[in-house]
Amino acid sequence: MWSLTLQRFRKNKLALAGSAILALLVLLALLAPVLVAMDPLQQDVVQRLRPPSWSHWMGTDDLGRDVFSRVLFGTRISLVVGIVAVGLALLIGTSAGLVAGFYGGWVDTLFMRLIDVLLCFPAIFLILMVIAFLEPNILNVVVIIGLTSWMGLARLVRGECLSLRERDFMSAARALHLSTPRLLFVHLLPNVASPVLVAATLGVGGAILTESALSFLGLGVQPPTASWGNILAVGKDYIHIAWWLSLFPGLAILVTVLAFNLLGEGLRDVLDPRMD
Amino acid sequence: MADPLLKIENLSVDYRRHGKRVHAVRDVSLELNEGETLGVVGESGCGKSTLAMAVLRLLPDRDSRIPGGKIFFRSQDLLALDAEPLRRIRGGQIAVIFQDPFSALNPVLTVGDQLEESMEVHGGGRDRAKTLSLLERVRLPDPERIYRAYPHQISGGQRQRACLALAIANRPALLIADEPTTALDVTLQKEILDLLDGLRRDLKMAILFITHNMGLVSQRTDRLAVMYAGEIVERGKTADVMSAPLHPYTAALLRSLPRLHKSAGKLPIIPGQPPDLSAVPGGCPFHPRCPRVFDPCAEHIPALLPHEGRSVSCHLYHSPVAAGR
Amino acid sequence: MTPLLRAENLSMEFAVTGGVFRRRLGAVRALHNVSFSLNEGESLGLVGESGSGKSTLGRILCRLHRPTSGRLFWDGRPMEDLPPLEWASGIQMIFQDPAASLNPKLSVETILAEPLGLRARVEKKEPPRGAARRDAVRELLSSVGLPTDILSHYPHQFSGGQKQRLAIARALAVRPRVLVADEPVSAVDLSLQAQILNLLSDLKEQYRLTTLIISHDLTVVAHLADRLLVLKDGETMETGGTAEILAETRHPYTRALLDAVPPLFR
Repeated sequence: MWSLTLQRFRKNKLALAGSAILALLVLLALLAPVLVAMDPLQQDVVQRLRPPSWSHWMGTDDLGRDVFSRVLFGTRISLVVGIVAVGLALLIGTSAGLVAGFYGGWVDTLFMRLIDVLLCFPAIFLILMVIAFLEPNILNVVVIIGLTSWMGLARLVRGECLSLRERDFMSAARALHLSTPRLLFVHLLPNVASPVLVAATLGVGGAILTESALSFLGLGVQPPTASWGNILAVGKDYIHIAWWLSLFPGLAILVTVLAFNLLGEGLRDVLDPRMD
Repeated sequence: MADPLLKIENLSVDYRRHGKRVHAVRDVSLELNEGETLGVVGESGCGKSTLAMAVLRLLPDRDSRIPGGKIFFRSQDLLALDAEPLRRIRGGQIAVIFQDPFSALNPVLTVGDQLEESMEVHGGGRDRAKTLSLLERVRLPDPERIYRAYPHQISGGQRQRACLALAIANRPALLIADEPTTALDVTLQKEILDLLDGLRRDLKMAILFITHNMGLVSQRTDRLAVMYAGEIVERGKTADVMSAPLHPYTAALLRSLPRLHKSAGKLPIIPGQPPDLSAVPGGCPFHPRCPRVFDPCAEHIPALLPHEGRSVSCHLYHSPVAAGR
Repeated sequence: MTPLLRAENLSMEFAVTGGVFRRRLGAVRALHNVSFSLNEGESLGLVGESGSGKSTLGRILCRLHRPTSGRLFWDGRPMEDLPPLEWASGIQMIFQDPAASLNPKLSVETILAEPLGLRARVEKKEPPRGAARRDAVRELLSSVGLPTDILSHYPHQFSGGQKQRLAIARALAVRPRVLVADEPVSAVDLSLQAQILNLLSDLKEQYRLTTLIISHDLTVVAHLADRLLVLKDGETMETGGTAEILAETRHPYTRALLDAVPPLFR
């Protein structure tokens, strides 16, 4: 069964394109310390705000740091935050959705109304308020993004569960008096995995954008650690004289989010091929 | 003797599913005369529905292909027709009713609306009185209410009658009925089929009756064609085929189905299972399961040739040399 | 002799809910005052069309629904007193659509190991693991006429008839005393129906099963069942021995059902 899925994956152009770009990004992120000639934290005030050249491929920032090195290290931040935050959202969302969808009744109603209420808050404001109280660092950023993006996944899982619950294979499992955890995790969960995986992959792009926005606002990753968002933050003040400070991190965000979106769309085709 | 109303000659239909090529209909030839009922009977997956869809060219363009054959309706090859003349024939001279009346009716239009739309498209006008009389003709109680109703507001049996009304609205010469009563209860089945018989006589309509139900086909058709794995294995007058089936598949199938008053005991089975249409065995498609298989069966595909007033596609009755394939 | 299974005035209503806070809007009556008794080794056919409640009755027997009213007795004891494990290992069911009744994401081995585990628990033994488990599954597969090298295959790889055999194997793995078969051949290819019907007859003899055959097809029920219960809209129309009812139908509804059987199959 997995070999069939793998076969389809190999034939799907979107999935291949997305995963190729991602593989490259992951490689760059892992090999960052090896690939850079310069220390991303090394300041050199004499060289500040230099345009791209052979010695500084993406130019330098306001403190003379090499932008290329900083963008490269920023890849690590974005990938980690994106994946871990969505991982957290997946954990919370899937559990909530499974329980709501499986039990139905008042449990389901409770969860759904809770989600409705939570969705009323604009995520950005919620995040800003929380970060304002807590210390802005990577861990808090990951956690807060995770905590504000599980709702969509929960709804998806719950919807799938509600329809799967009535299927005869679930009735057969109940007739065998299997334990509830077994029903949830061995029988139900594998059947909701496909659409959830697709939604999660597409969600990573959103998480990365949110992290960049936070760092841009100064509430995410703090300098001197490099994040695409905080490079952009510097860039906005020098946009007329140092376009490279805005272009390169912007491009990096674009390419990364695009890669996740391509992969997600491709996965959707692979995992849930349209029947004739 | 008059030309047959519908003449299918050596039709083959392929389609693509999950990346594999499925040979749903293989070299099928059939004839249907004016006013008669021809049953096409076979198990699910034997290609009978694909055959029906092919006649009306309702197969999805992208994934399906007709590598060969002709479909003559009143001596015109339907496969060679352009879109416009074909559209005029569909719903006009040739009508269809499907298995699931719910998906065959447009959920956002009332029954009356859909009937009048069909009549309008085929040259008649929107005539309320005519529509109401059509609804009466298919024995729908309270035609006024049904006229104004949406499909979800009426029962399954009523929906199928409405589909029937839609089909006969333009007095078609040929009605293709694809499993028309499979989704209905047995008591309702009889009513709908009786209705169909009556309409056929009144309108002098020919019916191509597609089903997997051997019992229905034995009662309601003049002639029948038995399909297996995309091919016609036996063809002839229904009474003859049912009482003395020639092809081993037909014979074995009839023997294996349970009867009401048979004594309890084991039913004679057909071993193995029907082939996957994307990987049909060479030679006669039934040979791996045939109780009377012998040498030529695995190598040569038997041709559908006449024998004792019928046509049968089996080496037992024709030597492989005569098959010529 | 105490009947193995006895139902007394079973009724089942399904609540219809709606609105933001799921208020009860009304009820659908699926069964009304249905009673029957089944002795060990007998086979009872439940006949009816859609809406007759026959499937609902089958599911109540497997504890998938709790009846709105009425009582069920197992070996003379009320079902409520029965521990769930005993109930699950006493009555099992095969469902109408074999494709839908097998979890598409689980392998044949997993699907069949679960009921084997249940049986082990009932017999107060350790559930089989590893090689022992695979052997037990293989034995189960050959008892229903399936090849034994399919342990790591998935349901979608099999034909309708094979899927039904798998479902039968799953139901029999716990060694139930009662087997409920809901439309056992409706979703099976015509040329395979005889195989499944014969398999059910053979297994009934081999394991001394008491069976409840649910079907809208009188020929299927007539072939497999000694006694009949005819249902319409949730109510009992007629009940009695199969041969007697077929010879001399009393109820007009049963008459209508019989008349609808094509002459070919009489």
